[in-house]
Amino acid sequence: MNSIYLYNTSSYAKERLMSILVSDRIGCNPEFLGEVRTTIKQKLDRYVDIKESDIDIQVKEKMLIAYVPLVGQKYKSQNTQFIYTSTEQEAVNYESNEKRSAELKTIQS
Amino acid sequence: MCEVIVVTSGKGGVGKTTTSANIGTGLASLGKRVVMIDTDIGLRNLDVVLGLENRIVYNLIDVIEGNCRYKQALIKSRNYNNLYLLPCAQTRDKSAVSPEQIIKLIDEIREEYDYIIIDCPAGIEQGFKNAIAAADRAVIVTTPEVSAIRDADRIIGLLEAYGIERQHLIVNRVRYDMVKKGNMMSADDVVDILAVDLLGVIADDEDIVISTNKGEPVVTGNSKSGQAYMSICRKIIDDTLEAEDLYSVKNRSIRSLFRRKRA
Repeated sequence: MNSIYLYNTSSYAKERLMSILVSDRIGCNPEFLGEVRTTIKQKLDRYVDIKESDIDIQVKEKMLIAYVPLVGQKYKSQNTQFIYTSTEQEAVNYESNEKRSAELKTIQS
Repeated sequence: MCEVIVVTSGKGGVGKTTTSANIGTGLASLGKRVVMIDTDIGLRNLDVVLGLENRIVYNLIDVIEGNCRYKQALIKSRNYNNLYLLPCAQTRDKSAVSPEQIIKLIDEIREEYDYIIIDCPAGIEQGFKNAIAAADRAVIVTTPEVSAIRDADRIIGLLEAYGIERQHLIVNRVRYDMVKKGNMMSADDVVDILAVDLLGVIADDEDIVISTNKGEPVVTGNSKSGQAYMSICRKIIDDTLEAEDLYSVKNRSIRSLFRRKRA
């Protein structure tokens, strides 16, 4: 929680609600989430080993965030996650390795 | 022409029953012929809020099962000749009634009255489906809390899915002192989030608790909350009226009085 909200909990509540409602509305539709998962699996399959059922999709502050845990040997670290957001969708289409690593945000934990 | 209004909220304890009682009584005091139907089978409360709990002979289930005619089950209000309550059963559960039976019953009742107010149970299961089955429009009651607003949003989606497009919002239990300090969402914030037309705002007011204790809806008295409910009733009858926020006007006048004193 941002310290700015300490004195104004109502705007914090409003902000939280806005994002809860967006994800509620999308979350009510499992077909949509299934489609998104399949698309991500297809797109990322060329580069890394992932399991479609592991992909966790969330909606936060008007952003679609998919957590994609890596499995298998294509990538060394087991704990590495790609954060794949809707705005970065174009990035996946790049063929060259350098461009790809520059565009995709990788979190090492 | 009769309008069937369902009072619903999703979350429990936000004031559906109190709102139903006050809207029903308010519309009756404006000269409309009103029937209030309690559909919260097994957890009836509308009779207590109206102070009619000692007069119940037959109930909704008796009417639906054909044990009596609906006119035998209607209880006349203590204060108004044009206000009736159809109580529900306390000993059965929600599965005892189906939406089709409710539609059939309301089609029979609606010919003789101007407004039918349906008090909906909490939740989105069978009881909710029964309550909204025959409704023409919906009044959604919420409080300025995240849980109540989230449930209200779900209810709005469900009402749309069931084809009830006319929806209005009542923001209940607003504490203006907390809103002023920025620790409670205002009615405007709630309207922003839910994007539904506002019918009115009710403060978290002692008078409402007192009137419920007495079994007389607050709308019959002259308190601020009574006037706020009255304004809601007028807006139900005439949609072109503006939603009023009676409490914040009061706050402003007190502050200006204080300033003058100091100067």
